[in-house]
Amino acid sequence: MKRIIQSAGLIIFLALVSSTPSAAQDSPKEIIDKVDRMMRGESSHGVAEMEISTKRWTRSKTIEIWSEGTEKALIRILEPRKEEGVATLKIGTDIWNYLPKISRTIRIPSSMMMASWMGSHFTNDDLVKESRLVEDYDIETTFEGPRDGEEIWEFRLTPVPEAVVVWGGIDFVVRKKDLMPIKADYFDEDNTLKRTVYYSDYRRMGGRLVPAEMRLVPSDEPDEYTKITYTELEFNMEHPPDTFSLSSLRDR
Amino acid sequence: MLAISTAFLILMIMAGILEGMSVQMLRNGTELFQGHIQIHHPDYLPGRNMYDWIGEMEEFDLEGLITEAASTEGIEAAAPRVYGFGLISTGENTNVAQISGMDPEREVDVTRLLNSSIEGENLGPSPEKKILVGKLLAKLAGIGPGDEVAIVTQAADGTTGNDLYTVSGLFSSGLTSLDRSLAVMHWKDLQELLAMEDWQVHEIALLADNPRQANRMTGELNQLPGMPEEAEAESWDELLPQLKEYIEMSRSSGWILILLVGIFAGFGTLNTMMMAVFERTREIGTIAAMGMSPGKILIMFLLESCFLSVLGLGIGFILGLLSLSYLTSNGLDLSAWVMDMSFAGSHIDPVMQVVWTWNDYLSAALSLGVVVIISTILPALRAARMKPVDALAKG
Repeated sequence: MKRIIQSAGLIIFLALVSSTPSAAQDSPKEIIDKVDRMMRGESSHGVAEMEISTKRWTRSKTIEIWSEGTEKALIRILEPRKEEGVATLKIGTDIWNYLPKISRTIRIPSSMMMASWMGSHFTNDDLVKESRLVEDYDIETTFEGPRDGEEIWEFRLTPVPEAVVVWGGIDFVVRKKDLMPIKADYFDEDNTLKRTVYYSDYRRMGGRLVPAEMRLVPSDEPDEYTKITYTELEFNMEHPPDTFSLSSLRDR
Repeated sequence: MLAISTAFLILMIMAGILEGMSVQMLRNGTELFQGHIQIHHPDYLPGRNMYDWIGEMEEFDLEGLITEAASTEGIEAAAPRVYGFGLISTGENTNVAQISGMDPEREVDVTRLLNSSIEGENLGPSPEKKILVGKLLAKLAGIGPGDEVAIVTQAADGTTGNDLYTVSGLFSSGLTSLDRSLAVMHWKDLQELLAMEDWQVHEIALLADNPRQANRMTGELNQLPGMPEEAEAESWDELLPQLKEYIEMSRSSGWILILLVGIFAGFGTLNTMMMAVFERTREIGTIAAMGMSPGKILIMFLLESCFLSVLGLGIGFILGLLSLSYLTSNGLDLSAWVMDMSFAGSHIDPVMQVVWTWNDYLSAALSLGVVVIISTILPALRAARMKPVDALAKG
């Protein structure tokens, strides 16, 4: 019921947005929801370059991503050769890694949720999070106005008491004109800044405006980062029924 | 006099047991897994960052260093170690584990881990993609000897290191921290998994001839020509301060006990002498009446006690020597009363080791001698001061 209402609201809102250049007055909740679901839609398929830079090395991997809502996701490494075919499959809150070199699929236990995903600064939890921000967090507008030449909103997200989330708080900075996120700060339960995600390179892909580049910077090592740049992205297609299955992992 | 010999004997045995316990604790705390001395990159501990291998950026002659270290005076053996951690998985059952890469041939000369109660087969001398898993970890992971597991980890080049391994055996060290989280493989296998070079290791563990002298060896090791810049040797007392404190504490309380025994011995002697003087009151009165000066009486008694002390100590010495030589070779077997225990990271052996040195012996003899002599001064003075008339009357 809630979803229908929200979807309806979203449709109406989108209709308003596409006809008028200036953003309509919608609630912080709706804005955050749009930001949250922007990269996923109902289903998506894309190819991206993931660049991981640490103190010791910088590596680039090319990955292909399929998703269906927030339930299912499949990410496969296309390059480099050494890791080609390594894949991560998420269904609900379960994650498996497929390792082509040894032809094995291993389940990632929940104790590893905060561990790095594929050596990047993203965690397994980032992949798994089934949560929708609007369900697990209370949203408050903390700032509205110009900053760095753009009219922006700043939202503070605080987890609702029953929410099972890893963050103590998230700060989103969103552009007023097109509801594009600019940056997100993630805090732990002690309100210490743990990481920041910067969004940029806004362009139309798959029929909608998206930030093609996302850069995650860990707060304890600000010289390091993981950058994901989409080179292809399309939304709302039909995925073949066995796309998100363990058996198809092996056969690919 | 009997009191003196017995006291001395007891003191000797107690001191021997105490020293034995300290050495036992030291050995148990270090010889299972740590070794007496370890060489690391100066930044390696406590973080254990995978990239802080010995020598850091510059390749150096690892085998040369190990050989040099092992042939240093006072060192018995040296073995290289590589450390990592990753996921051990049978597919559905995935567990996090610490992984140690060891050289099976050299490791057994330094520590006991690879000899501890193995179910199944031990690791062979060459890298065969086999692993030894701690019994408790194996239980968690649902694996046993002969099973195949996948191990996944972050390799040093940023890629996902993964490979298949066969469980050759399960080890039971007695230390839950090891049995529950450790898997051991050949160090060459681990270097391959972690995309590390041949010369890159995180640690070299060493066994000293005399563990109590370990901290004197580190200086020499640090001067070895083959030792790279980014490396330093540390002894067990620097690496395991808790163990060191525990041993010190036990020793101190032990010595307090020994001190108490000494004091009782002193009182015993005092009592004996007092009685002796009392019984010889008549005799003292007689010789005093005959003209012996109080000074001479004092000296007489003191000489007597000296003589007795020396005799007593001498007998005690011989008895002590006999008992200690038996105990140092056979130990004090308490296994009938005590079960297997583990404490502060050291596994306690129910057979008590006894250790003695000439140093301990002589200091104990000296202190006891002094105690005895002091405790005879009082009675001797008493004897000297007695008025002949009273003495004769009482006698």
